[in-house]
Amino acid sequence: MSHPPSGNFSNLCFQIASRDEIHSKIVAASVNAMPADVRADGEAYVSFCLSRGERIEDLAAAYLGFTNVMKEEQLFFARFGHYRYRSLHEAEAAVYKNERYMKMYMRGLALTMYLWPQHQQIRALFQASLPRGNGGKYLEVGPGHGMFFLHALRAGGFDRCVGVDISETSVAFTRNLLESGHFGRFSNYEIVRADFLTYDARDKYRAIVVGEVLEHVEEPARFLRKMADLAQPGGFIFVSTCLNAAALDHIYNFETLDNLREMITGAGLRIVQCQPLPYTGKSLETCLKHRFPMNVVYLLTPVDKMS
Amino acid sequence: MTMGRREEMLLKVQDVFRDVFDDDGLSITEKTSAADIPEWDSLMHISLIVAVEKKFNVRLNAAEIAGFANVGGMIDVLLGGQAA
Repeated sequence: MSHPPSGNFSNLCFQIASRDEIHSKIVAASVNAMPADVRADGEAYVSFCLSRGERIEDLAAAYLGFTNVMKEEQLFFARFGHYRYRSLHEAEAAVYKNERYMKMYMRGLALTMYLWPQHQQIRALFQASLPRGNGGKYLEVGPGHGMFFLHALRAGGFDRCVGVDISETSVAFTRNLLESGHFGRFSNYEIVRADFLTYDARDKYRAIVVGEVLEHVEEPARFLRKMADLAQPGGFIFVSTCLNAAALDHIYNFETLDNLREMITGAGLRIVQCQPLPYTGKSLETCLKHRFPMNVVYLLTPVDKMS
Repeated sequence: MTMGRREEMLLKVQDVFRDVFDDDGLSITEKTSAADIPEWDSLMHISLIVAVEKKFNVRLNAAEIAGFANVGGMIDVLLGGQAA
């Protein structure tokens, strides 16, 4: 990235790379391998942000601010072997109730869908696996920046989409995205500020999505059990999470894929597909051996209670 | 001819680099930076910091870590700490 390219998304990538030489390698790896349709989506997202009065410089600052905090937390993890915080209370104080931090976080996190190879892959798996069908309800826990929720509204064919998020800022982010009209007009949805564990869901859902959430909760097993209860028989459940990947509001580390698998099956869920996503350039074995960060995606369905 | 302190430190830091990047043939100079080693990304930078801390029994602060733009910067910090 030696000279400013054309296009807002490319300009954003150039600004990020020129401010952080070491991190620019990850951005370059992601951008160089980026399919044309993903680049177009990235351009559309940046265009949306600019339409809200944000500047390329602001987006670059948000992304780098977010990644700098991640690096500090990963250094903490590398030194001490555990995440800094272990309770929801601590994460709320540091992150969810900190509006200024949340705005940077949500904008930076949205951009990682395009700039981090693993998050690109998670997004691609989500879009490829989300069942398109007739009606039914969609539930997303932790829609955050709102981009997965937006895709479900546009492509899933659901009668109604429900998003539940613990953060008021995230609720506002998702609502602003959907109400902007930039990506279409929608009315068959609601975004609720609530703790999923105490949220009265009332219905059964054809699809449930919990993307990069389980590492943020104190009791992921309870989360998974509630997901199993809320899914229709044969329903689709998409879960993505991470291991050994520190962030200011990551409070639960599964440590191993075996731990995660046991927790999932113990909650009454059957694993349809598991896709580990090791850190760029590292094998799965290397990640697990050296406790390097990695992501993992599961496609699940509730176990048939009659069998 | 006795080796200078910087040259001696460079060899020790090179050992750290060889271990972190798992390359026994890796050669570095004081000018070596992330631009010279493709695998030196954000994650490996963290691995280098922790490995240096363990090797030299130090705990680096944010300002010192900011000086790790190249190997010469690392040596400055490490010798500065030892000199204090």
